[in-house]
Amino acid sequence: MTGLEGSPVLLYRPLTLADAQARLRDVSDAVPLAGGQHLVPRWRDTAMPPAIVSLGSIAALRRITVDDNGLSIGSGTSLQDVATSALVQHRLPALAGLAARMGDRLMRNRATIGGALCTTHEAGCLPAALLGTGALLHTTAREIPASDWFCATGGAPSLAPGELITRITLPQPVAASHQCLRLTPGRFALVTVFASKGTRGLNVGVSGLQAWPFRALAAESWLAQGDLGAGPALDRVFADCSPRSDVQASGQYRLAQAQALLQAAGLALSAPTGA
Amino acid sequence: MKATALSSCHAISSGAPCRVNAVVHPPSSGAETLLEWLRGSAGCTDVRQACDTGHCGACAVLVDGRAVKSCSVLAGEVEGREVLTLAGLESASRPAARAVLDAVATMRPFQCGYCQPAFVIAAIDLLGSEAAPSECAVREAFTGLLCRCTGYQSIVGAVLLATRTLQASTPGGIE
Repeated sequence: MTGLEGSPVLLYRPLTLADAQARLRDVSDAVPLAGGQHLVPRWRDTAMPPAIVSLGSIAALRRITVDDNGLSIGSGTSLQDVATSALVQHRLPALAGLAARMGDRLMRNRATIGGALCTTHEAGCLPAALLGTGALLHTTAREIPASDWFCATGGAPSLAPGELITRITLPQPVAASHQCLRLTPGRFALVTVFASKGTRGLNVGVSGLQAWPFRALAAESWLAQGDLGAGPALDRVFADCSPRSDVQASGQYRLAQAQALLQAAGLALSAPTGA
Repeated sequence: MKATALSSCHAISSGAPCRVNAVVHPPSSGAETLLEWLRGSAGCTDVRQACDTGHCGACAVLVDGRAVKSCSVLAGEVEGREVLTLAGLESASRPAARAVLDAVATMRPFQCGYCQPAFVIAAIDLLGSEAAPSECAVREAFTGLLCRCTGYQSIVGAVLLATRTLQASTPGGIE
């Protein structure tokens, strides 16, 4: 075993959230494990933690419900269940469609939305969706707005020992649209724009354009003015951004794609049925 | 291959047995991967070991009816669950499994066959949830599964044949 040969590794499978929290607090260096699609392959290349607390047997983390605050999705819900949930498809079809394109089907059967939040800070469609709906993350200790979770410093707020994400809530929009450019199936989209229109106004989340996902306030203003045509106004929407350039695409290309995706999202939002 | 990467672990849990291809096995005594446990303790060498990084999908098995990459799951997490590998499909009572196996026998869509168990498992997972998937849906369901021989066309064709067989035999849907 890499780095830990001979050292016992403890695997706990608690049935309740309280038990999981207790294990994480009381067992030195214990690590929570959700679907494991990121962590297990990584552990093979590095080393196993001394103790693992698997969250997969906690049924309370797998509930999808609707209340006054909108759609609530338990952090232990698999991405495939998000994609195929009748409730999600009815309330926020753009999110169901997005989840159905995250990774591949075998991965989605195991990967959870909570795990994706903890491993996807830089790119991918999920950050844009949470920013573009004004979502709220609930932990066992506090509530964290998506705009604070995906922050420009490059990492999520640290969770305290024993603190776990329990669910996310997404306000019910009137309409929402997920637009992305994906070069390779199963991989992160190059650029993603997720826009929603609700009673509190417009929300636009963008990922892939910069090194970190962000809520695009200028894009929200541009969508609100109603003219969705190309021109100087659209050119100014992402003027303050620092588009990333890498082996996949130049910053200029990403910028052009983000503008085109924003236009498409705007058209979808203005369509009679939304998106 | 890093066959011992996750060995020397100890699981603390319910001790519930796991059923693999309808045979009851004591739970894994370690936090090895499901792939290692299946090929080792459970003797299921029909589960292929390839990339070991979650990229190729060759190690796919069904856990409670859902296809997963067994290299990316800890064996201790399938306690009390039902695991099906390719070898267990013949005796399984799933119409989708019968239809896919018959279509594979008829069309012989694989060449070297190393990836065959994974594609069959993934197809059964798909047909278990979608009664009549389109060709596009079949191709999407195969995202994350690598075949180095066929170019996928023949495999997709076999699954579409299985779909037609199922539709003909169960007009009201599948499972």
